[in-house]
Amino acid sequence: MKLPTLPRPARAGTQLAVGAIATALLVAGCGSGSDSSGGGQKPAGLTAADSLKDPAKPVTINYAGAAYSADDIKPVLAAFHKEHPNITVNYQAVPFDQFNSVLSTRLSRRDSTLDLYDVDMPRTDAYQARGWLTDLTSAFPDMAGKVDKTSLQAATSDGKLVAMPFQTSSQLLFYNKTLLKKAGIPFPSAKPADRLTWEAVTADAKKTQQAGAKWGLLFDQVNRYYQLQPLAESLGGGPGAGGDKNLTPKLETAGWEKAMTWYGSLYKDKVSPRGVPVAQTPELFASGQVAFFPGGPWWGPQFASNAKLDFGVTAYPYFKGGKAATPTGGWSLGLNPASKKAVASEIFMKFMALDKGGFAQYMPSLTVPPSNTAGTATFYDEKVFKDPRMAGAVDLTKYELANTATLRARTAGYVEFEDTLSKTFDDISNGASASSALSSATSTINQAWAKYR
Amino acid sequence: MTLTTHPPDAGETAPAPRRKGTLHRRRLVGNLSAAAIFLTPALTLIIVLRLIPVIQAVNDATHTSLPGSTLPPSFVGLDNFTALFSSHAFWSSVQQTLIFNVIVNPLQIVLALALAVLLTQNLPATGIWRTLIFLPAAVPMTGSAVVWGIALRPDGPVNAALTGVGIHQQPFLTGQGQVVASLILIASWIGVGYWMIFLIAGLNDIPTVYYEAAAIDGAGPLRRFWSVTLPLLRRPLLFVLVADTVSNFVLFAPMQILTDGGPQGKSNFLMYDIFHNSFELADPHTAAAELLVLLALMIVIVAVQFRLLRSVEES
Repeated sequence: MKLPTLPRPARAGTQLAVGAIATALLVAGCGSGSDSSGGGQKPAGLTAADSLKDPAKPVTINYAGAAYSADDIKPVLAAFHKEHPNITVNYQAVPFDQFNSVLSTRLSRRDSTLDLYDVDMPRTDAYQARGWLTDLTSAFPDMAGKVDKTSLQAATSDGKLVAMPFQTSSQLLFYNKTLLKKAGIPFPSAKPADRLTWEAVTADAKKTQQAGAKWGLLFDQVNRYYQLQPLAESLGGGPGAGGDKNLTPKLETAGWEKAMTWYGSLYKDKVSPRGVPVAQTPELFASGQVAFFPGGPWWGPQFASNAKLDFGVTAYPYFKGGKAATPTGGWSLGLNPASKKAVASEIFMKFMALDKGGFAQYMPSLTVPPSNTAGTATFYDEKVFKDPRMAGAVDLTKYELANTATLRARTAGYVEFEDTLSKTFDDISNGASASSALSSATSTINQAWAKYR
Repeated sequence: MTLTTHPPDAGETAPAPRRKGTLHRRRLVGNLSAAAIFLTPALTLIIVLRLIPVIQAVNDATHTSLPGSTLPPSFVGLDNFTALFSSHAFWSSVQQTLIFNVIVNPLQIVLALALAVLLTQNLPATGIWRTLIFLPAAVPMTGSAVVWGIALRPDGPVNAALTGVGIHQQPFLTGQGQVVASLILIASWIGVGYWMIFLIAGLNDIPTVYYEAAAIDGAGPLRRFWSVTLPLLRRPLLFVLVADTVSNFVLFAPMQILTDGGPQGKSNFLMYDIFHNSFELADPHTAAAELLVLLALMIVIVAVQFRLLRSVEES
């Protein structure tokens, strides 16, 4: 039987195939950094802070931020625009998870339409190595004493001030009083000296589950180095990187293995739920399903807004026999070397970090400490800290920032390091053994860091 | 196109060929100009959207620089490929990509074909069924991925339903053994209805006379399917197979949204890894090298698929 002629699909198929492949190629092409104009230049017009003068004509600066939502930062921008009527700040809020991709696409191509951007403090060295940051040492020579020591240290690379620090952070352990009461567990004190051990918290978490709590303990940032590094630090495991320029992974240590074995056991023993993304963890505590929640004070307003949620705060725990270590670090402002509006950008940086206590003075519900030492009073005076459920949080945060705050690893390869660790923490929580996951992470990081050595 | 061919008068013998030739040339030039005008947009698009990216990918793959660096990259020849080929993670990514595609493509085609045959059988409310099955293809991939992510969470509704019938909670997206199957489910949820529409169009193009002849010869439904439907549907089927293969090779949204390539690299398919290297790690050079490997793999597989069609036609 002779087949009737059908339209040839081959050509259509080929076109579609080629089209999809070309699209895929375009995707990769978009990330290309094949610009040959060189990097590491200072923007024209960089001026010493005491000689800064407002522009005579209107100037708009573009600022890509991940630290605050567009709504949160509105009052800060309003105050700035009032004081500096000739400068308009166009704030572009970018979700944290996409922030690095957005920055790499724009900054590696020397996009002059971006003037300022938030710099996640541990990434300072990596961004400096890439040529994304401007040396601000001559513009802001007298920073010592104006911002806290750790923030200044985090914004400095090779002795140069390369970013303007404006916000730092600390962590608390939130606990659900209703669930603890049900399990007959006394409420922990908020005094640093009464800091709980992770072993005690785990035992109590299991007790609350036996008494009806759905989950015993859930970390806010289940797969982020920021919140999990202190576990290893508490056991003397170090930050996970060492050697020359911190370009040798140091994850296969007793401290890391013990800490991560404990972390994996939380999921294996069903104390923590598997598969919950970072964005959804606070909801579980806010809805009363979790007994213990290590998290930032920035969740205070959300938790406190629920009148039915009876909770308290205590210090971020440590391991028995180990030392207290708490997450810290926050955000700085980076000035794009390709910016053509250096002066206006500097005026805004100064306003955010230094002038009259910095940006913190204009935020109605700031829950993360500013880097500005004079501006911290406003933070500690926030309404949320007056809520009896947040009792002790102020003293605790002050104590942690002064005594237990532990900076994340400083390395030019931080982006790859943090990325690999996120996947490693996921794998451990999903059942991989700590030693095999850390060994695999070591090999991945080693391979990625070969470029930097 | 033909020119006037009346015989020339005696006095015109000398200039005639010149005039004829001039006219011919003029028309030829006119035709070529028209062709050029009509082809220019297509050629421009091919150059801008297809050729330049390929050249750029080859250029990127043979250069290196610090990730995200604003400094000019330096030429390294095939070093990026050498680094890839010596990486265990890369080979694992290739292996996972192939496993996923070997399962997902035939599965989607068989399901799409079964649904297409079923929905061309004059069932009641066929239009509604077709719409419902096609609907997931109309929802953005990211939306479907997020919804499935919630549904397949360890404490999500699917596990709640399983627990309700006495089956233990399943680690759909968090277990090494189940993540590929779960991604196949998500990809097929979106893909099956889409490819079904092409096959329905193909089925509707088959003249009923062949079915009538087969029925007269006493062929049952299965015989009619094997001997009439399948041979006459071969070309639309091949189109769907090739297009589906390509789309599944470049699929990455569910991995980016739901698994980040995990657990333990099991869903770290090549396209996701390319995106990850290019955008999240700001390393376009490794990404471009990987992309060329993916391209080579796809070309080989698509070529095999075309070869299969040709051999069937020849036979």
